[in-house]
Amino acid sequence: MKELKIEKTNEVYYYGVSDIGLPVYFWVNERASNFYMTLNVKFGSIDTEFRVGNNKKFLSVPNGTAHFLEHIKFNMAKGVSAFDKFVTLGTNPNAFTTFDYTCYMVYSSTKFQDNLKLLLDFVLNLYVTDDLINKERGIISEEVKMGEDNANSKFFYETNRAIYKNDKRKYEIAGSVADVSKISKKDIELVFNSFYRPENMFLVITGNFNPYEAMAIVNETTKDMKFPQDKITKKKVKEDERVVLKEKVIKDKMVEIPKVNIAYKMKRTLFKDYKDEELKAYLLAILAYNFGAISDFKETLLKNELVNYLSYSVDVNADLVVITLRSVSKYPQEIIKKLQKKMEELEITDNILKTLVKASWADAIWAFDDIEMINDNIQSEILAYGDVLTRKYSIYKKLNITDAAKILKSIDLKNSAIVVLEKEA
Amino acid sequence: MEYKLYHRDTYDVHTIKTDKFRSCRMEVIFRHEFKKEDVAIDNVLTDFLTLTSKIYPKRKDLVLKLEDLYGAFFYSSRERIGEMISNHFMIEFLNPEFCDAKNYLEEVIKLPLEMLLNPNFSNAEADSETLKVTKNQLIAEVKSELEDASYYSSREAMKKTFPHNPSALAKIEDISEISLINGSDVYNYYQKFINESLCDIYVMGNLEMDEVVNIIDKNITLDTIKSDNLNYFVTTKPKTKITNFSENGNFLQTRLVVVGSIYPTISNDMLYAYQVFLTILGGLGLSSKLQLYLREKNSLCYGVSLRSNRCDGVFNIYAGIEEKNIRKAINLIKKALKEMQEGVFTEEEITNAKNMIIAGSKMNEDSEERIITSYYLHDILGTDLVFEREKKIRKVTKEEIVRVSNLFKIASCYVLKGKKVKKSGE
Repeated sequence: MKELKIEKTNEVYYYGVSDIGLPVYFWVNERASNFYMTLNVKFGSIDTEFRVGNNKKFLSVPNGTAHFLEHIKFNMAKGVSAFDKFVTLGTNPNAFTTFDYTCYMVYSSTKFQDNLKLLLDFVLNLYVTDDLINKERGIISEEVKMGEDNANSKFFYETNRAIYKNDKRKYEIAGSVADVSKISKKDIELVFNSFYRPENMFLVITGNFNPYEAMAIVNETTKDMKFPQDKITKKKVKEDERVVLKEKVIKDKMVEIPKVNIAYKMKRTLFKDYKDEELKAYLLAILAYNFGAISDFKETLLKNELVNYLSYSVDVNADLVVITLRSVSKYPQEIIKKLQKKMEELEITDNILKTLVKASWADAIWAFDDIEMINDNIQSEILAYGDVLTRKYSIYKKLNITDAAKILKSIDLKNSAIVVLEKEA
Repeated sequence: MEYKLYHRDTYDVHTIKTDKFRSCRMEVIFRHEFKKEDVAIDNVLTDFLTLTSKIYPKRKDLVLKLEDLYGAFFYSSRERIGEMISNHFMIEFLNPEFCDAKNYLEEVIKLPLEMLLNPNFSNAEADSETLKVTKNQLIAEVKSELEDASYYSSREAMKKTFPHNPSALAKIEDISEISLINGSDVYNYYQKFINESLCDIYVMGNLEMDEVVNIIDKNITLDTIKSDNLNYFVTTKPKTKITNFSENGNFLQTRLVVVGSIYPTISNDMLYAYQVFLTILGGLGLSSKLQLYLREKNSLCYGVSLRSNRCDGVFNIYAGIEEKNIRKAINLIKKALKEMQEGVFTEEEITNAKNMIIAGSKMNEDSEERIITSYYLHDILGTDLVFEREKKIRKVTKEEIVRVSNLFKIASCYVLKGKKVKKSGE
């Protein structure tokens, strides 16, 4: 295993590839009482079209299949679930599915070997029957309905549908009740065999454990496992930089105060001189100064009762950059005008940039108190950048006002989507 | 981990020295009697004190100061135990060894004391602009809670079943309770709050604690000596029969809440049997009785949650379920509880539950927040510290679990009926 030193800290990540080709990332914290292990599959809700081997034809599965498989995975044999086995270890496992990946997690303080073996065993082997499909279909349908009853979740997807034309982020991760009803045993077997392979997965363990023992357990547990070798190609979706709808108003009885989202969609090439992690750091600093807790603009909006809540986010991917402003306001039309105007007048100062950099670096050190946070950070970095960031300090240190001003000038506001969620009378 | 108590006439400082974490935490806690009529103003005051002070009048001033203190966090929360409410003001900060700032420790310790003891009042009134923002945000929070079906249905079920229990009284229901509060109300309530509340300060981290306490002593000004005559346990007598409530909601999915009493009060010596009981019934992941019967065997719901509050003497069981399956779900919940009361559970389930509770307790050892909470509850309720629980959990017997189970009685079944919401727009 390689030791990856984390710059300007005394911390080290261990990285290696197991005998079956599973990448593993370990961070040891001997002061911790627990360990946290996550087995991650680079298969999320947006991966519904893919090609297997040299076949020219793309195969497709219904929306929600990745999430459905996550549910099915906890079954290990007739009448035996992974939960039953983990319970005997005093462990309560969990899992979640995002747009991009599926994560299976175990948090515990004892029986490291048993927990790791069981995690590998239940995730890497599939047990599925038609009865199980029917049972999970009922449970997932109720989960989907719970999501439909959640105003924030509903608003999130409605905003995505205004932004994205082709990108599968416009669909709910769990799919709709209709999608769930279409998912078959065959679909589940197809996606499991296609995506649940060591080279498409990664294991992250953080906390108090011996990394060499962990690698030995991985190798021993998986030594007889066989996986298909044919190449899997996910279908790339070409997404236009134009939004789908410029303005959209949705009404719903459960909404108490109107909510307004404004999303700006722009080409990634506008910022081609900057790596993803740099660009994200700059954009977040600019947005913090203009819309965050230190912004005079936000303070004025709050004092004038124009907003109750205001936040922002940045998504950077290979083709696009999306900046989203999220607000809760009794006066949606007024807040739209104010936010749009502020976006045209964005600014940043050298002093503020330095203060934000200092605080961000403190956050990065602070994270090493928390075995879950470091595990989450490793997952996010692998998914976003393909590897862990060992030189975060240099990234922060490099941030400067000249580049911030350059990025600020490159922000393109012409493609925006405004989505309003109001109470239905 | 080294605990030390510094007793002062008007406050106590509890220090927990450890090199386990890179960050440090200071928690200033004010404890006082819970009163229904004070719920709104107590919320407003807590938020106001977190947003503004004489030295940091604007939120922006405070945030910039915190960023400058290497991204320290200052925030607040309110917790209720029985008929006691506590207001917690926390600052989390980086251990000074990672910072090259001068007087960092002194500045970071002084900050929450400045916020709490030098509030932004003029002419016996709270600063009107900050008060307006505080009220506005609180109103939005109260309204957004109503968008949460789980919150709404649980609150309504408790109100209808045990209307005088603090569990039913602790929430703001009418936003006029907030909007009518003025600057002088906040000022007057603050005087009462500061003069009548018991004050405890917990500090945790790898710090020179004598120096920390010295800084606190120099910067704290509390004059009134108080005694702890707060009531941490409420008696909730069982209902003689189960009442059914039902109403139409604005949500798509129907929600079921089964509410009940725990009587008599569960004492500390029954605490671990109580925890094992709760774990077998609802806390063993999908293997618990409730999950097994409602989700795994009958696919009635995505999940079922069991919440229990021994200090209030109440519990509730919540699930989102199709209306046609409500009767079946209620019967399965009753069956699960009855089995617990008749001892229909195995030694294996007991062992699994104990392992799960011990593992959960171990999780607390990696969190400064949870370690401080453990000391705080130890101080006020006499419960064991996180490090002392394992042996006692192992000793719990089946007879004790059955005895505890029989203190649980269902009082009502509340159904919030789902509705097809008509979609418009686009």
